Amino acid sequence: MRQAGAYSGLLCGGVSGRTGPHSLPLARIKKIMKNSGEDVKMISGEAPIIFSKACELFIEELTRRSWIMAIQGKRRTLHKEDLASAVIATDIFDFLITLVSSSESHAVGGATNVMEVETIDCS
Amino acid sequence: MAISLPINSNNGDRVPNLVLRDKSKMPITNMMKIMSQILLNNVQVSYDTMDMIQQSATKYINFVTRKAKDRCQSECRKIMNAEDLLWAIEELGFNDYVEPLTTFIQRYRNIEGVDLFTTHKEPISHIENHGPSLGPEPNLMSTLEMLHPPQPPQVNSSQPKFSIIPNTNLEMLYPNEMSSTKIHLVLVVQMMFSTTLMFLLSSIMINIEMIIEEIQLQLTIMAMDYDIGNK
Repeated sequence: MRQAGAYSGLLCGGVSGRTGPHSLPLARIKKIMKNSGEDVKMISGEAPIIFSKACELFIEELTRRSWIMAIQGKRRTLHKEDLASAVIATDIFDFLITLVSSSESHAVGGATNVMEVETIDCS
Repeated sequence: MAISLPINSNNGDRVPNLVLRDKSKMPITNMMKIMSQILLNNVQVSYDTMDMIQQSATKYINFVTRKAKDRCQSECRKIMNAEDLLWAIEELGFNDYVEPLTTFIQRYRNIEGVDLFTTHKEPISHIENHGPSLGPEPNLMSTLEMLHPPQPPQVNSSQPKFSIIPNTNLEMLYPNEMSSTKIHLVLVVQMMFSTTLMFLLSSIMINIEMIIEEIQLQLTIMAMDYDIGNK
């Protein structure tokens, strides 16, 4: 008999009510998927379900790394700088550098140039 | 040299974007609940950070969806399914997500099959003992079978011949070995049951047809009475 693994609580943490067992609304996920490209036409019923859990894991990881940055800065409030630092420090979040740099466009000019250079290197 | 952010211009620039893109992003309440599971009680999140994480989640969905779409196009398929998304998530470097997502979708498929008989949404402990989980197609087939049971074939025989069956029993029982006797008995019982069932169904159909004819006669009589009443 196989024992319950570390992920046995995957289906128990959902938010009750409108979203049912899933923590994020499936209709909105499907809408975002269809808006991502004009060639995305048909999506199976399981794809939004996968994304509801994948987005949950993504948000958890992003929050955890941002919190680590906030703790290093001796603060108890998450700021955009913490999120930007977490995105820059992690390789799998490279697709968010454009979002972070555009949001930081009003910040220091030197930092913006550094981000642009990194963007060129990544692409 | 630290320069503070121009808060007013940010707030001024952000408001119309929020209004326009409100329905194309993740709802902020659900995301706060997810983040509160990670952060401690005394940790707060600023509004700008919340908005940025909201946009990050949307960008993540777009990023993975485009990658999955490339695989669909390379394989000449039009429907994007769960395996495409798992492949895309692994290709993009989120290797830690693949194992929990695989477990999640397997349990979801098991629960989706169980939902046909029960209404509770919690996972059952013995599901983990199952072998390979069923795919979506068998569930769909079972659902269709439940919704549309197959119609029994019409039996046009006026007099079913039951006299042949005893002879068949005798012929099948005596010359065969003992090991295959049970199998033949089961077959004979199945044949008798099917024949009896068809006979009963044909009788029911005949009764229904008679009832329909009576109803039509009654309707005709009522129509004639109605015409007489008018005149």
